[in-house]
Amino acid sequence: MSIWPNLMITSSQVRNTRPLAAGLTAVDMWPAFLDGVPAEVNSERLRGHEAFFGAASLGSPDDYEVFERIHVGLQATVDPWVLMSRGLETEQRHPDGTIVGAITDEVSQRAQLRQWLKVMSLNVEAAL
Amino acid sequence: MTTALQHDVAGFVYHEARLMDESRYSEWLDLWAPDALYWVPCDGDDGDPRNQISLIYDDRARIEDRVFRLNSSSAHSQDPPSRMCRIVGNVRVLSDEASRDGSGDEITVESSFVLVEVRRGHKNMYAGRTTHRLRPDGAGLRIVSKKVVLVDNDQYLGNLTFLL
Repeated sequence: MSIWPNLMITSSQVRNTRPLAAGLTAVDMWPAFLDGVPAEVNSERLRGHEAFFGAASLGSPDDYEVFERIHVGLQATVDPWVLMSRGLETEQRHPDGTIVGAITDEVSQRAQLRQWLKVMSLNVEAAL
Repeated sequence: MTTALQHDVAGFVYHEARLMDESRYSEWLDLWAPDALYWVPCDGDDGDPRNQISLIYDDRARIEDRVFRLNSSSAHSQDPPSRMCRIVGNVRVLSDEASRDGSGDEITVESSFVLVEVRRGHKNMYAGRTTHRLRPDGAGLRIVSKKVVLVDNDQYLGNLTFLL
């Protein structure tokens, strides 16, 4: 679950992403324990977290590598766009406004950026 | 502890450092014993890994997973691989009973390192203290356990997917 703009809660962790400057972002991750389970279960959750999410793990560092390369690519002036259209043709809009897509669709990424654009486009002087 | 043992142990630690510097993953894996444990603590030096997160807490199977991935073409965070040079020093064989005679028992070795890592235009420096537990095995030594305490293990850390 993503809570706009920068809080994520998953089955195994709470994650907070803080942009510090253009080109510098801090990510804090807290693996979550389960209540009422044997200690070995929570130890195994820690091992799973280390294996995928940590700085020396086999998962997230690859994602960050991709993010950093996208960041470099976005410095381009020729074609400064990221295509984020996955699932755009198949996502479904429910009557209450909820948009639902497949797990690998970029529904949440589009929603994040749509809200970002909306907030950054507010009349700042009026808000003051 | 004999001078010869100190020499063998230091040579082993330097050899491992060279394999890590040159990202020779499979040769590095061959240094480990079947019952290996590889531990890099996080947020302090001596937390209980059963209930506190580590940067690395690998048994033999996880070490093999790590090496398999690094050898594959999908390890984007090591494509291209880090270029590294580390100085390992202050090598000291602890004078516990097992270390004293070195006649087939395990040996505990402490050392320090400073590592410069360069990748895609960025230069990083790391430092820490390593404790190896080594087991004589035939003509050589095998790593039974290795603990690496980074001096900045309580700070924000970047890409640590190279070998420490």
